[in-house]
Amino acid sequence: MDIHHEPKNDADSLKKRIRHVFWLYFVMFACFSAYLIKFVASDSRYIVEHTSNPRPRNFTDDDIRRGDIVDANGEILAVSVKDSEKYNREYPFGETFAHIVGFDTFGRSGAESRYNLTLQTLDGEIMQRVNGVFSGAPLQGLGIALTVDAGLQEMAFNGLSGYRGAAVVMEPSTGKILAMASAPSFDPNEISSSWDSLVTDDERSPLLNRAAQGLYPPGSIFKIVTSAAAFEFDPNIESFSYNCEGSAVFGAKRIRCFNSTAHGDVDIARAMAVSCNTFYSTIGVNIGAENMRAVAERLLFNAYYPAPFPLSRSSFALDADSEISEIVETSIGQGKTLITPLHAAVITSAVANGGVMMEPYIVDHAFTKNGKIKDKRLPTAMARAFTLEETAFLTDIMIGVVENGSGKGAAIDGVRIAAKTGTAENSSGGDHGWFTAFAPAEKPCVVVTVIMENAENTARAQALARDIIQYSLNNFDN
Amino acid sequence: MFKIAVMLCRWLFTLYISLFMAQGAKYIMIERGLIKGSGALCVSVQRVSIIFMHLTGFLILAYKPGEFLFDWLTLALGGAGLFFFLGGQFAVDKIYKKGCPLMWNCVFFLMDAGFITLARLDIVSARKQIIWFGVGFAATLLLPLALKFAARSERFELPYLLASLALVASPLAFGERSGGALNWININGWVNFQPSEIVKFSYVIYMAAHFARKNRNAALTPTIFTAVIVCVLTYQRDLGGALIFFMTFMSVLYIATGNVALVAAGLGAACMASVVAFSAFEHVRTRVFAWRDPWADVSDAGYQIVQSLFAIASGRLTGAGLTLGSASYVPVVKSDFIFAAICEEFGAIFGIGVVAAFLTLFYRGAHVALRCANRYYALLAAGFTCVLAFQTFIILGGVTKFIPLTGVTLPFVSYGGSSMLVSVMMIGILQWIYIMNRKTTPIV
Repeated sequence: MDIHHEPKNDADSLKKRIRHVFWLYFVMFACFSAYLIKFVASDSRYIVEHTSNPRPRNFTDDDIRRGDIVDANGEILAVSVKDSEKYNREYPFGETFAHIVGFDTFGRSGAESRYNLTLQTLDGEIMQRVNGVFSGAPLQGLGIALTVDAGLQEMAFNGLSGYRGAAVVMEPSTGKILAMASAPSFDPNEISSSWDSLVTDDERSPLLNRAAQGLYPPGSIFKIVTSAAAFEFDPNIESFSYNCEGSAVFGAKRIRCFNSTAHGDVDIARAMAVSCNTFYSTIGVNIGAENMRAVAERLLFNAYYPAPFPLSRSSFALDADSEISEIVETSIGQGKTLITPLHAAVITSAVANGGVMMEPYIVDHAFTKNGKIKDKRLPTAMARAFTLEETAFLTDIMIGVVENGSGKGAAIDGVRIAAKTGTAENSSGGDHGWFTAFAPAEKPCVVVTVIMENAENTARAQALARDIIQYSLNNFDN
Repeated sequence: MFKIAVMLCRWLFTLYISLFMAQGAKYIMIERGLIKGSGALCVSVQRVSIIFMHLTGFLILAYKPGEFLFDWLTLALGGAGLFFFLGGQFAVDKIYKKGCPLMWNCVFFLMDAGFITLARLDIVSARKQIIWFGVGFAATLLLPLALKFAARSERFELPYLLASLALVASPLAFGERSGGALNWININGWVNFQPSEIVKFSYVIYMAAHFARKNRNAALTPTIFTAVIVCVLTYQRDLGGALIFFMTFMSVLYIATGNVALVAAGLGAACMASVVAFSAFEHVRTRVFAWRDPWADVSDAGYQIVQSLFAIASGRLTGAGLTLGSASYVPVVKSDFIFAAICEEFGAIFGIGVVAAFLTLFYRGAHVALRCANRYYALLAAGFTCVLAFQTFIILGGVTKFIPLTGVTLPFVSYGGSSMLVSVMMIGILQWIYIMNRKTTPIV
């Protein structure tokens, strides 16, 4: 061939550069392989359970005995029982756990839907199948153990009887949901026969999980948020004092305290304890709409946060153009602000947990048929909601609510409880009764949020919260 | 029972791929004198593991559970595949005497992994694919003959350039849109082909010929030429194709000139162009957002990538078992997303094996370039290797959300005629250059 050959030096540097390029793509592919292994080994677990994955939804293997769902103490909440030919799903607790556990007999909902793939996953699949061929043992899907305590759940659900409403109980340090009741409820054992009447019952909406999807005006429990904003944006808030005359005019709006009671000279601690609306309206105007919005959005208003069941999004509407009348209404929890009971519990938990907002979760782990624990869930923080000084301040004024304010009905001898009451005006009738609390104030182990629709006052909600706190102190070692 | 067998076979497939990888590594070490042993033995073991993989795969696919019977059509297809692979081995041994057996083995392995997956997903496509195997190999086997008559192929710089331009622009006149991209031509309603695939071929020859000239630092013409191709492809919405040409250009430019300033300028220009494309074109923005957070829009913009991630994630490390996955949920799973299907049913370890086979191929490509005493052939080998390497990286990274997704085929594995033809022919040329330069002492 007559193609001219390279001078030696040129050829050497050409080869050097070819090596450079080869090393470049070697590194590229090495990074890719590492990424793929990491993806499959660690991220894949959460991805396969995504609700958009068509696999679990269409995956119906009749041979597999679906895993059990049990509470934190191993109490059975859902179990598959075989009749002559196929497995039937039974729910021993009926309507008490309906919104949490859901159903698998007529479509799917709740944990039955969210953890469908896990419940049908065979641990040691080959061994199980081989064993099944020889011994006829059924193929057993993984069970899941919830964080919920059945006794507490029954107490919460029964406490709501006679009302529409919801109760959420959480462990503030982890985000574990200890109970989550919504009333009225339905019986998942009867779902296929009662379905038509359930979906058409617009009056009671029994299928709706009010705890996570019900949107309510927060009323005075929003004063926790307003207090936090005041602490951040008003350096003199702790010495600020105001003379309450029972009502006052702000812009075009007259704000009244409950029953137009004149509270006289109040500071923020007293105003929180007696839930003084004129005081909070005044500081709301001082804080300003945009500062208030910044705090609310940091607390995940107008946002979705990760949760193992369908959520509604709490909304906060103030912006730079808001009128004074809107600002004052918002600062006492009226106006356009809406919140879910779960979100109220999550915010209260953040106060109880030194300002760290934990992601709420409901499944603690999965377990095999031999009882081996798999996929243990670890608590995860999802936001830094408050500073430590801020939580100390909020806890102090919330203690006053139970010790000498509107929340005396929840008091328990020898236990310091931090709480806030709320009576929320609404368009559906009598005021909603809110109560959100945590205890013991110095080392919180339980957060409880209760709402009873159209209850007119908070007495029943306080009594239920007190019982729940008492139960938790007796049963959960801390 | 059958399910148990299929599940046990997952370990067989993992075993085959481990054996294949281990023997490949051993071959390279023997070649480099790091250990003693027989390279021919390694090659044979690799071939046997491909044959076993093929047999295992098709026995599973053809079995009809419950009926205790095999499906004859599937068996026949498997038999045809086996005939092709054995015949192919034999033919390359004859025609490409003293070629690199490791490279052929990797190509056969990748083709077979793709073929089994295709037969599992859609038997009709697998039947068409085996015809393309045949066409691709026939062309590749004729290459040495053609090259003998065109030994001085580097002289036809201008024709390559003009042919490339005509081909790349042809879909604008005759083409039709497929999946949003206007880069296909349909002949008689029978064959669909992507002209840009053929251009990869002529483009690399042009680049090698240009930079092999005496006045080798004149980078202006290739720059303009590449810019035109990249722009036309971008206009046709073939972003993946545009990216392959650009990266190949930068690599060959760097190898040929060693001019770091020029390369840096090229990368800078590319960054600016990406910013412009990002703000000007909706479809570019959609891709980037779908990569950043496909979960934000699971049903539309993020749909493809999310479905692909579901498939790969459900396969875990050893896969769901052949026929036991549900990869059909993944869009365009036969061509662009075939890697997701492979990962779902064979598992991520097998997926890593596929990556390793590609990497071995590119290592050999670089090896071929390094042994060339002649600048033209060195550039040619390096250029083809770059085209294949970047194409592989773009699509593997794309379907796994490692980089933004731009649809191109996975060489040797994806369903698709023109891609298969061109990829195999590139290997043919690499082999030919390897054989030509056997006598010279490589500076490794």
